[in-house]
Amino acid sequence: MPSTQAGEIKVAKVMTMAEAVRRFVTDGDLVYVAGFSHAIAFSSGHEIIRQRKRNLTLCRATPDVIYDQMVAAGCARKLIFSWVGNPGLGNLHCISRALADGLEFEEYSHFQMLARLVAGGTGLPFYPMPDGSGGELARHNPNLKTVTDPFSGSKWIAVPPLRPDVVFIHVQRSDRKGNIQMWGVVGDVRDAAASGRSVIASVESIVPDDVVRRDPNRTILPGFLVDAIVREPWGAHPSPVQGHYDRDNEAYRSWSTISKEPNRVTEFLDEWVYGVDGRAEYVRRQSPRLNALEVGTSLSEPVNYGSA
Amino acid sequence: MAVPELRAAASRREEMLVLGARALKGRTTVLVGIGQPNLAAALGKLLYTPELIMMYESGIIDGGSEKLALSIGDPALVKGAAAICSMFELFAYYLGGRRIDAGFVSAAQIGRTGDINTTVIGTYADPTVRLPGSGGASDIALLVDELLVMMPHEKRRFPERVDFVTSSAGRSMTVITDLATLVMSDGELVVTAIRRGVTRDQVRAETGWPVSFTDPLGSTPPVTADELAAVRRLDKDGLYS
Repeated sequence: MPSTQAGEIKVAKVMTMAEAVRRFVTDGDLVYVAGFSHAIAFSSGHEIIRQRKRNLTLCRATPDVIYDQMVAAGCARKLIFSWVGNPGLGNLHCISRALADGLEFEEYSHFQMLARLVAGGTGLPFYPMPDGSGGELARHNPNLKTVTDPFSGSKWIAVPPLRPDVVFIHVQRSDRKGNIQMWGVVGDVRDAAASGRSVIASVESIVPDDVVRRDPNRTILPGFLVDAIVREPWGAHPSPVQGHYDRDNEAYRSWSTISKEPNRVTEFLDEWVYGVDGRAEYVRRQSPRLNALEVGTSLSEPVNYGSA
Repeated sequence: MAVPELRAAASRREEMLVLGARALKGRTTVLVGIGQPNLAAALGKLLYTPELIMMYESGIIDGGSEKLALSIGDPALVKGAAAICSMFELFAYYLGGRRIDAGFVSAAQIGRTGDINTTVIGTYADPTVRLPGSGGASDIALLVDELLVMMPHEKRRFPERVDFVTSSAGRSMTVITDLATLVMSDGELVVTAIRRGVTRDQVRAETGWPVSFTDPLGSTPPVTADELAAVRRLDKDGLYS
């Protein structure tokens, strides 16, 4: 692109989810869909399914329902995780079936997984974890290696850096340059994004620059790390977004039943993923039940950034 | 607002939650897992240890909710919390920096030497049941001063050796079940107290190794009316008791 106008390049960051997935996800990529129990980038996962991306290595601390659906849809070659379940409801049945059928996987503890992201994002060759970290996993996962502290001589377990090809995050707001503001549970979002070669952020709203600049401490990622901004209200449903909508516990419960039967999984994907052209249509069709997820208002006091 | 009529006595699970609440007396900071440990810790904070700082692996510190959370990232826990940090900050600074007194978790299996399994039943390569795995549990077990574990006392959950060591035994460990309390002593879990109306033979029958009992064996002070009312108020839908 010959443009040297900064303004044009910034505007070019704003795109649809369909375009972002088309431009940034290649078959075979290592993909990290971020969000720990809060603000899980569900709409990105659905778009990856719609575009029938294949042979992805799907990495998340907690695969959650989104990876259960992506695995069911045939997107995954391999899974990397540290806790695989439907919170409070038992198994992720599609992933359980895939693992039993031999889906390749790599398993860590949460701290190990986060340390891998931090090593990836900061350029460290490895991150040292205390001896005993991960229990018996060290016997099964060749990525957990013993190292010696050169100062004290004590034993540590090293985990290698993780550098996803593409990281998807979902947050409350950003400006058009991709300065990302998030509140509530930040979880793995910043560490995952900072380790990604490309970062796609879906946002509940795109706000004017000065909204971000009046509260710069709330920015968890500077825009120069972010490659694409997608305005995607309800993009995290059925996971919650603080101040926007509550967790759709009924959707999680319902998935726990649906996912037991492969034909019902197919029906679900046909209706809610392949059968819609994007999140906006999904929201229109879900809207009667989304009303129940509305949250109240709880404002914090403004702070004074005044300077001389 | 209708106050549910109290049944005459606490159920075994309600008693277990109350004992978990009592066990946190004197602690300052506890990292809790969702489910029964969260409920027991919330009960402890309400009844005995108001200054207790409860933390969740999602990065919520001193969460603000009386509503029972289904997920450790529940927005209801965020509203009114003292702090929200990233997961990495929580695991690296507070857990890795050994700033957290106690961890409170549940387990699928626990073995004679205190090893905990939440990963697989059967072999790792070809499990009969695939469980969620570690999450933060093995990190918590490794990095807190004292580990509290709450789980039903059943023989299949108390094997001599666990199928998979998700978390190695902590330095100090207390296991609270619906039948008994066990603590680590010389590298082995021993029974220090049994519930009123429970016999040693019942505990032996539900434990997969020839378990030892301390002498004298403690008994469990009965659940008070206040404790029972509080546990039923916190878990008003009866999800965990």
